[in-house]
Amino acid sequence: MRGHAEAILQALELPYRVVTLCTGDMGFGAAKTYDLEVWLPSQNTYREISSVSNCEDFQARRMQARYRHPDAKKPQLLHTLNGSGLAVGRCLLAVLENHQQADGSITVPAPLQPYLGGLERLAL
Amino acid sequence: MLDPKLLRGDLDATAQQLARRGFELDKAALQALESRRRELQTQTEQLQNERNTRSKSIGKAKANGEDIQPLLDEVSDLGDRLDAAKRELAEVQAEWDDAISGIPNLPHESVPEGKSEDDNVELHRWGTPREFDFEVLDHVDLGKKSGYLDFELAAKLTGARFAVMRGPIARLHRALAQFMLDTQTQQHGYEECYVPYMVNRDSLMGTGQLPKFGEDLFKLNDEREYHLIPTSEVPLTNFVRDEIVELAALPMKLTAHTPCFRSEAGSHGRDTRGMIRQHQFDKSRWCKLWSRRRATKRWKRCAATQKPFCRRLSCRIGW
Repeated sequence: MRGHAEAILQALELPYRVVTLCTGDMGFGAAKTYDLEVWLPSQNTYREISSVSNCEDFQARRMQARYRHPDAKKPQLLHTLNGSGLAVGRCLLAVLENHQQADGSITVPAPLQPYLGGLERLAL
Repeated sequence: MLDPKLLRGDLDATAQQLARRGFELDKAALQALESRRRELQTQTEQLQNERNTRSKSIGKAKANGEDIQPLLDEVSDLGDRLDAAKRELAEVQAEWDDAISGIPNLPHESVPEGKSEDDNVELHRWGTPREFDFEVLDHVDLGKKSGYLDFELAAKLTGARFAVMRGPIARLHRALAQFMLDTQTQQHGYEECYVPYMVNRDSLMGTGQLPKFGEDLFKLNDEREYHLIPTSEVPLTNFVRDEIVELAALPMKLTAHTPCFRSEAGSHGRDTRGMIRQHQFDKSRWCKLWSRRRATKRWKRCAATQKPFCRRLSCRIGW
């Protein structure tokens, strides 16, 4: 799942880094979380854009979400894995800032062009 | 919610694991509740047995032509005591449930120890930040110059931490959302979903936002206690709440693009400029539900040397 988020950032040509959250920074239900942080030139730093958490059976136990396995007598708890995908607003500002040109226009990354009627450059 | 077995049997080890994430487990309170629960459980069972035995003897006494009134009174008294014990047991159970619903998940053994984001550990980087030969504008200035990204207008319409997008920026925003959804559905096998943007209390309890983090949410002011979703993880994950799914249906891979609403109660003036931290923002969310056995198998592949305690915690996996 983390690979999927990385693939999207790579397709958008946005530099990023991956961090493992430490025990004190993780969300309530997570056993382990990876954050993807995108480069923001205006802040000269990486900022969180996506978070992928493994909650194991923690959420499933609260929800009583189970599955039937032929080898098990009782239904078993499911495991949940959550990826924020990508925050679209933060992604938008990363595209605006990273792909800006001196004339104020924005170069459109190739995979987005079909969604913008083939536009290669966005005049602002 | 943690496995109650870990809180009954392995209390010290569990407390130690929780301490790694800065959570202090109130062991004494849990132990007191647990011993009270056991006591009441035994008491209930004893009263139940006693009442059954006495009830049976009524029939015999009647057949022998004895006066059954004292026996009837005794059974009725036992019944009252049983009801009282059952009620108290339910109260203690509710207190226990309440206490453990506020306990966070155990960190996986591979998670680095630390207090704040400063202690997060970088795994790798991709791409090289571009060198600009002109002065870089941030998105707020870029938007202001063109008028296509307007925070002041949003502040007039609603308040702080909202944005209005127009023209090419609104279109770029939509393009990004669609690109993400298409990539997940067409290349990675996720099912596209449209979900409610308001959820009930049970759903928020299920994914863990409630009972502890209600202040981060926007709650609707009516008796139904609906909340605006802080992420579509809440509706998506709750698809399977109180369900038993067939193995063949797993893994279940769901995706939705939705707005997310957060009160940012704890942000205290952080990131007040621009789109970084907004009350309303869009996100495409991925949610994967899978079987424990498959997860375990995968975990075994990637982690050969785990300490015995972690193994007992069932399937602690990497991915």
